[in-house]
Amino acid sequence: MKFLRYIILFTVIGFNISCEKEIDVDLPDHVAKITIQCNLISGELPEATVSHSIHSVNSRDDFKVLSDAEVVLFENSVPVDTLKYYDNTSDEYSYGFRLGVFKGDYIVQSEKSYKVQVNHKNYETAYGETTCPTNFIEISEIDVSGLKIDSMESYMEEGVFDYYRTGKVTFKLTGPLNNGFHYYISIADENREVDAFELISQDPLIVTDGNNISEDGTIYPSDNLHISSSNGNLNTVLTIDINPQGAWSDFEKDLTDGIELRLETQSEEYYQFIKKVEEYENSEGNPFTEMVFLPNNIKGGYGFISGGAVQKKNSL
Amino acid sequence: MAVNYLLIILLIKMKNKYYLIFFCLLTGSVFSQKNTLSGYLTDKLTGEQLIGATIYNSKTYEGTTTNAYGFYSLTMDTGKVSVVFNYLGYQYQIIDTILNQNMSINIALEPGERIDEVVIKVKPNTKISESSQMSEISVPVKVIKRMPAILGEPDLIKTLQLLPGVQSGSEGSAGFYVRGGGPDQNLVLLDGAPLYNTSHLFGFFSTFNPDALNNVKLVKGGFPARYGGRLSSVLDVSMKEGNLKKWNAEGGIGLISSRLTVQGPIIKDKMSLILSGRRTYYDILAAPFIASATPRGTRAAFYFYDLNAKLNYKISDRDRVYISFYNGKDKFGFKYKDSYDNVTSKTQAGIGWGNLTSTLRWNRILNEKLFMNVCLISSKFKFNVGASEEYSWTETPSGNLNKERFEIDYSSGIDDFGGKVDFDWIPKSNHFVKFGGGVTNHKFSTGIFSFKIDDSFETIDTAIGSKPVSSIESYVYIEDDVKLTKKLKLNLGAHLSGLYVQENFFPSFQPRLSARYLLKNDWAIKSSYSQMRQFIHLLTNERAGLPTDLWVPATDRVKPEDSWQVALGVAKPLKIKKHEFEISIEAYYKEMNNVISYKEGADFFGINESWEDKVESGWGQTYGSELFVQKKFGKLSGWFGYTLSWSNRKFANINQGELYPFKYDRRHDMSIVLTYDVSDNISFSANWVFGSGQALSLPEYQYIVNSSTGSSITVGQAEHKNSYRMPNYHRLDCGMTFKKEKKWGERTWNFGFYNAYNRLNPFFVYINYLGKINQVSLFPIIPSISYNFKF
Repeated sequence: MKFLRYIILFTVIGFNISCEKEIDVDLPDHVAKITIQCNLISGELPEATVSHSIHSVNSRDDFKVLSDAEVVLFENSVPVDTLKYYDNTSDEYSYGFRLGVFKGDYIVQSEKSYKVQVNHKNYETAYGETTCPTNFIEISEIDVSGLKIDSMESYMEEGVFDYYRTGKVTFKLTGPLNNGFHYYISIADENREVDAFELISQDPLIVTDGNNISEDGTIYPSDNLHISSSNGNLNTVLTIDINPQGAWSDFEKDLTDGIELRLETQSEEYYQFIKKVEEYENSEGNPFTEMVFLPNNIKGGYGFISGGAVQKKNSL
Repeated sequence: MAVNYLLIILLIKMKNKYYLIFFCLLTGSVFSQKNTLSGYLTDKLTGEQLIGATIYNSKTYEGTTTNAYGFYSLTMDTGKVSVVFNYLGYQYQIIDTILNQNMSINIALEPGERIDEVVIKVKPNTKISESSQMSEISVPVKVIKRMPAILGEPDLIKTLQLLPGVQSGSEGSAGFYVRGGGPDQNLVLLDGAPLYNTSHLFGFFSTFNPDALNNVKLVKGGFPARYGGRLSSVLDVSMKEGNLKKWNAEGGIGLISSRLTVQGPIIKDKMSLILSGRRTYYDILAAPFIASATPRGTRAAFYFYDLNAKLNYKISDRDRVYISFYNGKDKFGFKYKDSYDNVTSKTQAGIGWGNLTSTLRWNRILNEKLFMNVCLISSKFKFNVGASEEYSWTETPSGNLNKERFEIDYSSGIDDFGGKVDFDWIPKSNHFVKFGGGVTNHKFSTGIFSFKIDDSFETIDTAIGSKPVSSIESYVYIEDDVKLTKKLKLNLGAHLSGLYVQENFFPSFQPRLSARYLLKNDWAIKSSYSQMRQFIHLLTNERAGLPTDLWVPATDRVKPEDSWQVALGVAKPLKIKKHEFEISIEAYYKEMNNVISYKEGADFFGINESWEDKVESGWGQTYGSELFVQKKFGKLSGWFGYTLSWSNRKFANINQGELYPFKYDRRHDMSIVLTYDVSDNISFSANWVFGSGQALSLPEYQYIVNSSTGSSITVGQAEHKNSYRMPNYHRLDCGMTFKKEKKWGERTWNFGFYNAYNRLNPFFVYINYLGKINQVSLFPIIPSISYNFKF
């Protein structure tokens, strides 16, 4: 597909008479603003990524860590926590690195309204508000008897073997589905040596109607199984096939810990935000796609705040 | 006994919508005896029918116009009558006769202006204030041919873009945007057949060869009921029918293309044929240089061509049959061979698109007041892009020849077949009734990818994409252009249509109304209201200006588009020191529902989802005003057009549901067009155009976002979509024409400059890797020269 695109671009550019010049364009001056990205999960500690915007023509190097920002968590309009800067700059070039992480000590609760406010002397105060829902879906009857331990020769060292778990994990989901929420399932080892089991990457299975959920089907999801809901009751058994063709990264050292299933309940707004980010990533650099605008619910700044709930269950 | 009509208008409410219903009651009354004069009006030298010519009684000023096929019918009181036949660019004729029975007289007008006092006195019906139709412009073909144009290629669409209310797309683009509508909202008809793609060379030229054209009419609002299927405009183009008197040829040799038109009688005054062709030849001329300059002996093909053909047969005084064809194609591609070691590779890639239309038409004069036109129409458009690579090598020591081949191809298109019947009924001089109907089968190929791999590991031959979709569109209509009083004239009508597709049926009732009220001193107030519906959509990528147009049908998920438009205007013919002008000022407001746009992030070439999943339906709103001052006669002629307009869109999931400016929202659009006849053989022409910068989305700021996979990305954003305006566009084109009569015919040299003061107008802008804004312009000053001949 890329080949085709470049053929077309070459053809057009090759046959056009073109003149190019730098122009003084009246792009408006940009007043930098605070950016906040935060997904509060009830029952867990709050964590926010705080940074600032820069002009579109500036270099990425102009992003600065706002380690001296004051990040305050309000619950029902009462300040309950001040998130502290978490210095992870030594991991800057690691996968999953996030600039400007702030972590708190207060456990977020469901059905409460939260506000995350960031103050900094160089920027206008920015804040975002959200509510954490209650999770009504139960995970039960986790069956890991279908798992076995397999091995494969290390890519790095001949004669050395890495071990991994593979096989089927079955579990049951029951409970009322709430209209407007989205359910994310992830599966990992309890010790979190791997963030999620590396599965064969397939299109995620999207179930758009609670009545259409297939029962007892074998599915090959990506590392997040996503269920979109309409009103109804969920009562289904799902089977996830872990590492069906061998793990190819992130091997566990401890293969005796349990399997943790994590079900997140997220809002429609969060779902739309994540979708837009994915669309942006997929479309970047492609001249045949439409520009993607991300949702922004931060007052006085940019970014996104949302609230979710989680239910975790361990197989042990 | 004569018959009169009583017009009743009812306003009824159904399903939260209001409908205007028109009833015509026939009432009997006794008046003086009337008879009808009817016939055809043609060009004396060629036999071509004259469309929209004026015929009127010089004493009573009751009049009519020739219809789209040159037929007229005028009912007058019995007795002595003096009838004037008049058409722009021709000498008028006056026929004095005694009308004591229905008569059929065919009139042939001679080209050339007859300027004298008599003409001025007897030309009231040609005035702009007379017609009830507003928002309509007829563009004489000779005006198109005299326009200075890019690379010397006269172009119909480029000329239309100089009119108020009509905007061009990007620099050089042949697309047009009428009153804030999209490029798909224009119904383009060539001899009645819809043309789905009107551009060559990535939009720089249109598919219309002016040598083959007879009449061009653009309707921007106040749509008569006979038109339907698009929201924003109707461009009705009719081809020449072929000289019935004698054979002649004309053509031209230009910088990038040449053209030739041959026409003449197969049977004099009975059957004629016209053949017209145009082709670019830059690739032919450049081929040897490209082959020698490239190490792989590359051969490139980049050309376009147009072929028009029409056969005209006059079976009898009442019956005529026409067959017309159009075929146009663009092709861009290259191929080359290479070899290394003992491996030979062949690579080729190309992109192409084209139209093929054909029309079989039968005209019949049923009686002196009733004219019938029956058509069978076929129209195809296809777009294709593909590439292939083949490797072959000889194995050693076996000597076996091995081959591997990879091929990818994408194609889309639309295929129409249908028919229609139209009646023109002129019962009285103050009524011109049109009614009829039609049905079309549309077959849509909404994008099919085919892959072929044949190598030592696998053989794949597969196609991905939606199956072709068939739909049936049908319509009926009725309209009456009625002069109620001396001052008040109305065009009332209704267009009823429906689309059946994939077990869904979408009906539509569309009332139409235009009105003209005469004030003192030839001032006229005009107003119009029209509802339109469009059953097909065009997916066009706003970012990449490529002919990747995809025509798709309305479906249950992506419903038909609707619009309603009101317009109000004044018109007046004006005379200043023997110079005649026509002035019109119009204001309009239009709303459109279910307009579509690609979703944010949607990839035109994406194969993981159907087209329905890639688009959103939304709402559009446009409003503005247009000023048009035109001088048609005299040594100096031309026009001034100015448009002040706004055009916005709103989609639930684009720009976060907020209203945003349409890409082609141009606040100011102005054009000055002048032609000056220095002498009979020398003329000078110039156009100056100005347009406010186009809207586009440029990132204004950037910030870091964490994705769900844990990675951090930098996103460039703007406060809202299309918040940035490119620099203004303005350009001057000028040209001179030197004509000379020769023994063998006539030759004309055209010299011109496109973009005479070398303004680098923006084609697109982007932010480069240094963070600077770069503007890409297409055309600097471009001189042109062409040689034209006629014999």
